[in-house]
Amino acid sequence: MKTKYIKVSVIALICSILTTGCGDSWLDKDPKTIITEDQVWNNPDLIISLLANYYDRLPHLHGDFNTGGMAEIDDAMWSGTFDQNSKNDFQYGDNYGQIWEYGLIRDINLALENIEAYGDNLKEDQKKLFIGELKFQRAFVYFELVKRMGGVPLIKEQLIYDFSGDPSHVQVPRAKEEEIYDFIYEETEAIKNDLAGNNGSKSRANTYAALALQSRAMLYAGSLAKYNNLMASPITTPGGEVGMPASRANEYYEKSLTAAKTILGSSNYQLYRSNPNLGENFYDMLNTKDGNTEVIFVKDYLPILKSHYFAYDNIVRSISEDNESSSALSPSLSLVESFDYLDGTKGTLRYKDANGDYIFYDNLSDIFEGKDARLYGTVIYPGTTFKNTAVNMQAGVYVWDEETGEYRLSVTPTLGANYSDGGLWTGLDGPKDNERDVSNTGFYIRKHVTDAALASTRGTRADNWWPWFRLGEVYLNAAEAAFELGDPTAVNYINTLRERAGFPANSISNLTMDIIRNERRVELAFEDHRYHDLRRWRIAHEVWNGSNDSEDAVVYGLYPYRVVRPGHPDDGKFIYEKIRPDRFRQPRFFRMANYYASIHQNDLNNNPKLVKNPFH
Amino acid sequence: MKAKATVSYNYTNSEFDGFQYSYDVYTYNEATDEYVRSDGSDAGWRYQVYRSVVAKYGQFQLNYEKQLGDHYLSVVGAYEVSDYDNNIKTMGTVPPNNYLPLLAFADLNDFYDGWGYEARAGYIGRINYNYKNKYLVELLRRYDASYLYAPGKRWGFFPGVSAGWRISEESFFENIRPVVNDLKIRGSVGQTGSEAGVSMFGFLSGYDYGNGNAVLDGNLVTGIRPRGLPVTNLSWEKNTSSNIGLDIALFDNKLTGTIDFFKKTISGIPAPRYDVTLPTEVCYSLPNENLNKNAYKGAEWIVTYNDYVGDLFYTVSANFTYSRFHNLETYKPRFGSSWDEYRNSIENRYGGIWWGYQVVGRFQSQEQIDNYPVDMDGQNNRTLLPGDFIYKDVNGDGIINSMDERPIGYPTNWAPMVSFGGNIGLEWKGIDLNIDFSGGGMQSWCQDYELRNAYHGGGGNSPVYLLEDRWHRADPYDNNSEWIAGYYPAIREGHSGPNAKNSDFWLTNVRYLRIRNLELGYSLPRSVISKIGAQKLRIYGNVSNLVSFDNVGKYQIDPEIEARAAVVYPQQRTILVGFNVTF
Amino acid sequence: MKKKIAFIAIICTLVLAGCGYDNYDEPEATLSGNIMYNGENVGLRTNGARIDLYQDGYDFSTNISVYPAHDGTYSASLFEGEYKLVFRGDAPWDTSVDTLYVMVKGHTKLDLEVKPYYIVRNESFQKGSGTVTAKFTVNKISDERELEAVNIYFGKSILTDQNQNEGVTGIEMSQVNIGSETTITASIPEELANRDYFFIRVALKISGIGDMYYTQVQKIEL
Repeated sequence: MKTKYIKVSVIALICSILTTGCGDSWLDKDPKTIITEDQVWNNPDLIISLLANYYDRLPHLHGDFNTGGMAEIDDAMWSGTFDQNSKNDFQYGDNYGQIWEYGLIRDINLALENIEAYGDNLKEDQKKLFIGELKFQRAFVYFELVKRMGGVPLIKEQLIYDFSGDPSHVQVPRAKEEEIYDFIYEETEAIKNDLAGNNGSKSRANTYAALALQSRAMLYAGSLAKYNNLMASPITTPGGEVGMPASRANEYYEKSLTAAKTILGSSNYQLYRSNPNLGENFYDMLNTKDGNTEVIFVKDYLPILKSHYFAYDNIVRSISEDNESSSALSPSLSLVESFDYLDGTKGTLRYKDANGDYIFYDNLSDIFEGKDARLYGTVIYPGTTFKNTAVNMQAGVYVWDEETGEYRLSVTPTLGANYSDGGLWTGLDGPKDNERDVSNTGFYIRKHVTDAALASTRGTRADNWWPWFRLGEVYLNAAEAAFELGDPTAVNYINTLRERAGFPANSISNLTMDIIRNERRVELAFEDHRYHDLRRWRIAHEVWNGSNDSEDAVVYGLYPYRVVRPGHPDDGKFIYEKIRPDRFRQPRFFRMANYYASIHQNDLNNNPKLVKNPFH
Repeated sequence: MKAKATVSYNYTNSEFDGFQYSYDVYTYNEATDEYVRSDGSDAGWRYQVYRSVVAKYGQFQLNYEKQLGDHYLSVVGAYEVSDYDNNIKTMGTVPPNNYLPLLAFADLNDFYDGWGYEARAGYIGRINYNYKNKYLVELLRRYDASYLYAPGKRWGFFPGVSAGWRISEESFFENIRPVVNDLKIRGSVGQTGSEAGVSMFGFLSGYDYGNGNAVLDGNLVTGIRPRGLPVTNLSWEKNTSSNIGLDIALFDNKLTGTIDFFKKTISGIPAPRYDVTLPTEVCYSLPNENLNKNAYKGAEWIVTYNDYVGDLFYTVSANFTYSRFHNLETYKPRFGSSWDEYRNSIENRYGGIWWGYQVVGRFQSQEQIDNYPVDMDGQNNRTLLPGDFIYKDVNGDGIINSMDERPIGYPTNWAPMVSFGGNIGLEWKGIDLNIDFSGGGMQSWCQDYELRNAYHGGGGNSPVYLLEDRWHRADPYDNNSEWIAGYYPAIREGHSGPNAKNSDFWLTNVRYLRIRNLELGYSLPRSVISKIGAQKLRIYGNVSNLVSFDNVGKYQIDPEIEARAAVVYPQQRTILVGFNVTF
Repeated sequence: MKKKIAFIAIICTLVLAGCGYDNYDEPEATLSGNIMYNGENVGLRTNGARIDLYQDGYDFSTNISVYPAHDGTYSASLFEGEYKLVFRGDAPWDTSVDTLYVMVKGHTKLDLEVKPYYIVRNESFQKGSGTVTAKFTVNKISDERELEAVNIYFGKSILTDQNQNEGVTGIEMSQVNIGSETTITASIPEELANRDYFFIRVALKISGIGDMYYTQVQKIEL
């Protein structure tokens, strides 16, 4: 009897444990990181958090300190680790620049719908401001899409599949290229005044950021309309997805000029000229945040909390504060030679005289004397300093051999070693051919590499901001648009910009398209413009023609050598020799198919209404 | 009837504390007789991780067993719950100096606070029945729930049944029994569940906090990001294993053997349900549902024979297993052409197929390269040197590209599809010898990185055989000296040029047989050890992993690795000597 | 014993059945031919002009890319069936032609007649001392585009074109006779002069098109 009692009570105990621990409640816990829809839209701080996530995701090709991307055009070559040497040994594939960023567009469309649906507690002007910022972000994304892919499906609201078995209602065909540019214009026009609340901010979209986007987009539209149709065979598709009508070129140039003039007329922005040393000034323009009147819209960073690796990747080798990495970008000779001399002569460097003999210079930096001040601010060349430390560049020695009565070049693989005469043989900063983490061309990059303490270490990293839009570009947009319209004031914009670079007032009297293009190259180097500019002028396939004989398609370097000839007056002088870096294996080769990137096969498979881009 | 309850509470704690100092490196300058700082790191690193895990487990079981004459019945029922709660905090600073270890707020450069959990529950029931140990049946069922799935999809039902028939116990077997002592046929089918295809809280929608950030007006704003469509139709993956086998014992149990044929099908593998394809612009992918299927199919056997010859007792055994993975079906596979289907379809296809090019020869001279009409490297053969590979132009189009890829090997990072082994045991007058073999085949190893590229990555290490047994010029300083052939192509610094294509030169079908264990022992006779009062004294020597017979000797690697540059520790050979004594 | 052998035999056959690398069949049929105009093959750059093949009856339409070789021949390894053939890419001929339908069964041969804008005929090369005299006739076939440049490419390998060559001689358009024979003397590049032989071909650059029309590569013994 007792055993039976125990048995029953045991069973009862077990059953009660089972029922309490039962079922789904054991499996449920409160999520600690998820926020719901209605919590977001009535809380302005959470909305700003959402905007922060989208600002962080704005797309670009070679921007936002993308060292690797900057090494894929003609302004620089890759001189970092060897396993990435493919950047010096490739051809632009059909899919170079391919983008189909509808994830971000959908998120923005969803936000625009939800702020109307849920945001009842927001103040009216606050709501307009948020809507304006969201529309700015969406216009920015569509601009990136149309730049690289041509016309794309224009989707302004959430697409919802109704599970009916027929997806045709969510299959949106590609809009025409001009429709996307018109959309960007309409959106930026509609929101520009709503954004006035942000006019003191540089990191959130404001009226002038919208106008800067408009100015750039309309300029691109105008040049595509003009230059595509000047080609022997314009690149078009029958449905207009690619190919702008030539008749609208002037209309777009007008719009670009108007937007640019509005920004130039505002007192909020001035060309940065705080430093009387104009070379240093051009560097400070992007390196200094306080009191900066040049930048209009940036991607900002903070020390340690949100910082990037551009200084770690690219700082001059001997000045690096960390023990690994440096010098991943080696700027090219063609970029350095695009900077003209202040007296107006073309920027070709004189390292050999008319007879083909080397010119002997007293100091390392003499060969660069009298050049456009922007060269100093963009590129570190031999004989200059960085972070108040002299840059130690010397490729080798140019030794006089008494026996043969001739000079010979001599280098050593050990950086920083001394020659038998006690002087420097090859510098700690190279340049050295076929080496990693040291310049391979004789130049380092200065622009964007911040001189803040410990910025080149992995622990601290760099916090200088990335300029999406700045005033210098607006001057160039105005100049180009005005020139294409036949407006004689075009030359004034160029001259104003050149004064900041050290040129005398009115240095250009006879403005040509080539001058404008060169100004754009030297002013906006490494700011994610070059690839897009050459494409919209339809000269990319001529400049990057894949030929080993081309000065532009091949990245060349210029190496300094110290003359060793004891007792002779030339002893201790310097000569320069042009070289083709060994690591640079294939010249840049841009084909017709690269004017518009291919659409990924999966995207084509998923939407049968999409038309392929030409040549793909 | 028995009842049993097990409850456990487990608390695990882990702390990591790291401090890397800044340091200077000096170089001696002969000219000035000074040490000059030439290198080093100015940056220190300080990092701490605190992790605590609380795991709870409970199992409550009821057992009933009864033997009624020739019938035996046993019933078991159980309920189990488990729970796992994981909290982690990390913080890092840039230490201002090398002396003070405490972290200061102003120096913080990294901070993370994270949490995760797991929870599961399940009911189990099992019934065993046998009649005279001749007919055996077992029924098993599990009913499991997981925290990953949406409410309503959490529970999965997994039954199983197995049956066996000992033929040798049958009456009609009487006459054969002296020879075939035991013969049993058995079969079973069972199911278990696996979790896959979704992560914690996949069934909730909303926004994720802490995703991305931006500096707006000088302040760091933490971002939130919309989650995708919630996963509400997904539940457990089902693994169905079925097998049929035979056990046999012959000649007074001297010869025993087992053979099994098995198939394990994994169904309900998560995949999006694309009844129609949706444009990418819609931009959410349909959430995962249980749709796809794949399987392992194979067979295995083992045979053992033991006998006496006078005083010598010996036993020999061999075993063999073959198991191959097949992809069975996916939900509505779609292709664009017959080539697309051949190249990418996995419907009813072997898994892990290795695609690549075939090397059909080597260029013997520069002249042969210059006159060869097929473009190997995409640059009109300008990067080729004598000794480089001639790839097979499978489609005859004059260029080597992805259309020339064909299946060239087995997968590399899976267990070998065929494995076999054996054992030899001998015992004679107190001496015992035991040798274990094991081996495998039908697996591939891909030779890459440091073992393919000389000075890989620019200055990396290279194996001697890559640098010695290669195509090279007789005089490295003379570009006109003749080429001397070798096994490896001419080396390039840091990469392998046109020979880098994924080809069957670099892929080896590995076959090996190892002497896994060899033990020789001697048990001293009773007469000797009883003098010291011991019952048993055995001294022995044991070598594990004595030798491997394989076809990868020329690469100097262990045959059982997957790492392409062999940067793993090989199996170690250990020698053990010892003794056992029992009092 | 016999049983054992039978046992092992059964297992072996089962195992060998599952021993191959792949259990799908390889494509066995081929489609090949020449790209020609009026009886002569069109010379090309490797990896340049492209032919796309499409197959109906599948959910997606993914093209199979076929790149003709430098001598104008093309070849593709396919499964039997009906294919649509489309010319793509930047090619020195008129790509706006209708799609061709071809039934591929076994080894199918199909020569494709294209309409280049300009062609070169009757090219011959005579070796001089340090120079090569090239004679050829450029014919205009279509009015749609202009002839932009005529180049002679030298190479050390049979695969030589505008991207990979050891020397190029550009010819002044004023020296090119359309419709009748042109004679040009070009000097042999230094790096080829000391060899036993080199390769040479003439190329036409049509304006607005990246890929050039080439003659067949010819070998000149030195």
